[in-house]
Amino acid sequence: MISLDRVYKSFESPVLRGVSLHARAGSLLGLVGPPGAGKTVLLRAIAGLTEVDAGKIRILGREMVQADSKLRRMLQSSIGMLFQNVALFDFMTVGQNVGFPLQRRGERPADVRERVRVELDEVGLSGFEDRMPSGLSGGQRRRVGIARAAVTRPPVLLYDEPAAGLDPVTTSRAFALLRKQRDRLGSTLIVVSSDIDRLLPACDEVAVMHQGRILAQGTEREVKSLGDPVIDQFLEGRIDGPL
Amino acid sequence: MALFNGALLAGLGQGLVRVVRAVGTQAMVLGAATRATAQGQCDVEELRSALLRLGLGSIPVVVSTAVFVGGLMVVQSAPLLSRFGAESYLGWGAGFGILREVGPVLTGLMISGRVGSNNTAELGTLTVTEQVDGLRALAIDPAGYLIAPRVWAIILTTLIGTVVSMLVALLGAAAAGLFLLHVHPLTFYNGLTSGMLTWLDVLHGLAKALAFGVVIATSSTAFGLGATGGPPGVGRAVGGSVVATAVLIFTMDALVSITSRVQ
Amino acid sequence: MTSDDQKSSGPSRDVAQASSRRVLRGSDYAVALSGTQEGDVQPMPGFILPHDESRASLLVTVRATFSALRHTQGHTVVAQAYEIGVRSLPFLCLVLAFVGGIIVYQAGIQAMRIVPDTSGIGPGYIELLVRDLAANLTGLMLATRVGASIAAEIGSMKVTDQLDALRLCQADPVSYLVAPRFLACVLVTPILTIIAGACALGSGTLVGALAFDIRPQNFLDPRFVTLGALATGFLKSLAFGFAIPLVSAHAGLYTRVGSQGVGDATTQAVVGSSIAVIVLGFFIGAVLHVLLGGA
Repeated sequence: MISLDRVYKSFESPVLRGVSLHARAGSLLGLVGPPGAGKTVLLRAIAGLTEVDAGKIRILGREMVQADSKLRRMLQSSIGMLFQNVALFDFMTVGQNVGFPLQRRGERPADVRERVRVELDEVGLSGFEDRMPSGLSGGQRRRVGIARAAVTRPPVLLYDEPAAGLDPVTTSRAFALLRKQRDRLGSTLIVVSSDIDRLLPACDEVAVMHQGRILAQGTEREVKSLGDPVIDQFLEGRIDGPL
Repeated sequence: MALFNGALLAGLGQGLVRVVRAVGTQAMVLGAATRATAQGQCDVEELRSALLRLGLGSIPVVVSTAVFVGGLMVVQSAPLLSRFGAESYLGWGAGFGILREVGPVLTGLMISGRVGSNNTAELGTLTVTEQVDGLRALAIDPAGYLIAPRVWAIILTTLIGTVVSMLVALLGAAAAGLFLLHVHPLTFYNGLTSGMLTWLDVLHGLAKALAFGVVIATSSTAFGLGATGGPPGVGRAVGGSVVATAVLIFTMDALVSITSRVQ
Repeated sequence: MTSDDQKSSGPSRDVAQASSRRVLRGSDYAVALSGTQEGDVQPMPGFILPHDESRASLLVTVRATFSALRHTQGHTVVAQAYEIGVRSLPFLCLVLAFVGGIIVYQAGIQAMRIVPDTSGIGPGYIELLVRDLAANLTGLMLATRVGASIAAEIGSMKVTDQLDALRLCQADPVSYLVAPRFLACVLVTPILTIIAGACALGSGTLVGALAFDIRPQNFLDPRFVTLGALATGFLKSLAFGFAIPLVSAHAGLYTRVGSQGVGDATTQAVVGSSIAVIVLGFFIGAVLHVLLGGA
């Protein structure tokens, strides 16, 4: 469904050093790792927002790397993404933000309004349609971002820190929502989160990333059984170790 | 239509209040810089680095603008001179315009754009990332460390920049005069030094440059230190500072022109 | 109910008031920008901008903007034109009135010095205004005000990833943000030039009357104004309307990430636009002078 093969990307220094990854259709892949591992850059590369230097990124059977604008547009219309800093449009209301992807496809305004209502319901923000993003708390903005990412029911969903700044209850609700998106919509999800304790139970597989490489990918048990000191220290959150 | 007028008036009124408030803040900035220096707390390292960054960095902009400004002066007065056959007056006309008016004002505007915005951006960033508060927490008075060096550096830069720009603009005007009006450089030089332009005119221009330098320094500092709200706030501060500085430059220009009826 | 839901800025009441005030303005603006009429969504050209920012160049931005013009919707341009025009007008009129007054004052003093004949001041001033001054000064001031605001708006959106969010929603940032602002600037700049020029005319007449006893009827004599002068002034204001949004939008689109990024982009926009105005002003004036008049 989504597969990466030896992806390289450098800015002033190497950020991605041969990342290989595979997310099965309809699964939830957790992407974890210490800060600076390159997780956000990887998500952006998958979404076709950053052009990589080398490697292959196949999404839905098509190649994203160096795709021409028509193909890229087609692929991106199948992707929904939550950005690390949420990236809500400041000049639009919450309702217009969430409805924007639908509107770009030419859906009728009445249908758009209805879908927006449903999505806001799902993230627990019913009735927020007319509020402005600047008047929301950080957690509320993030939930609006989740709604906007999912509103077109895309087959691929990329989430960068969906639970950052959320309290425990809302965090649980968020991860439950992600699982629902996988189950009911059959979407493939890649989720970056530093909330390891909540993420691991929710995902089918986890990939641990460090310094631009994937150290291991597999179920939680498989990855822990490898005995890699970096993985073990990170997943358990211990202070002493190689990190 | 009535609504439009009302909105315009309200906008003007609001603008006036903003300007008055801005001027007050700038006076405070100048006061703080003077006080800190008088107490010997002006950080010399920062002063040197500011002069290098802001001063040297503005030379390309000032020089490249000045050449075209000189040419522009010629282009502007060309029809008038051609009509009266007064080409020999070009030296005097260009000199007059450049030394007294256009030179200082345009240089002031360009330095405000280049140096002033840069200063606002830097100080704005320090403010929104709370590093200025951090300085205070370390018992370092921002006035001596941040404000004073930048204020003096910018004033100096404006003065020197204006002198440079006036020279370059005169050269540009001479070149344009040669190519467009076939005025021989010697004629241009004669017109310049014929005695109708005196050192008082140069002083007039320098006085303006000094006033503008103070305006740019204090305005950019005040706006920078008042920035709020992350990167967008820094952008807003820069935009506000450039506009306010432009208005003040023209106001000062009017004041100096009118009060110095030096002939 | 959740404990984290504290407002992220300021006292709640002020924020709520500000939000509700913004809602009206925001919705109107957003309606104009995003368009909710049925069936008017055209497929975006898509990804005109290179992803690799090391390939950024002003030429690319210019080409991208021009190819996006076909798809630009009228109401977006109108919304931007209103923003640019109304916001800049007070500032512009103030500056031009000031400068106009100073010029007449200086000219009058010099005229008195050389030949005590003030009859040529009015006509000469009007011709200068029409041909050069109104356009140049308006251009310079717009470079400052509009250049800064375009760069700051687009730049802020870039550093908060809103441009990427737009791309992902099939809305290319150049078509969506830059093209409307570009068209609005091209349309509005000549109009603003005329209005501001009128202010300068008024203040010049006033100074002439008050300081040199020139009667307005004698002052307002357009006998020197030629078609060439009108053409020069108009062409200049048009050219400035072209250059300012392109230079500023380019600076905004490639804002560097970090707290100082937006500030630097704004600086780049102001300086770049000002230089463009000065250089273009010189070349247009020089070329037209050679073509029409002397040399």
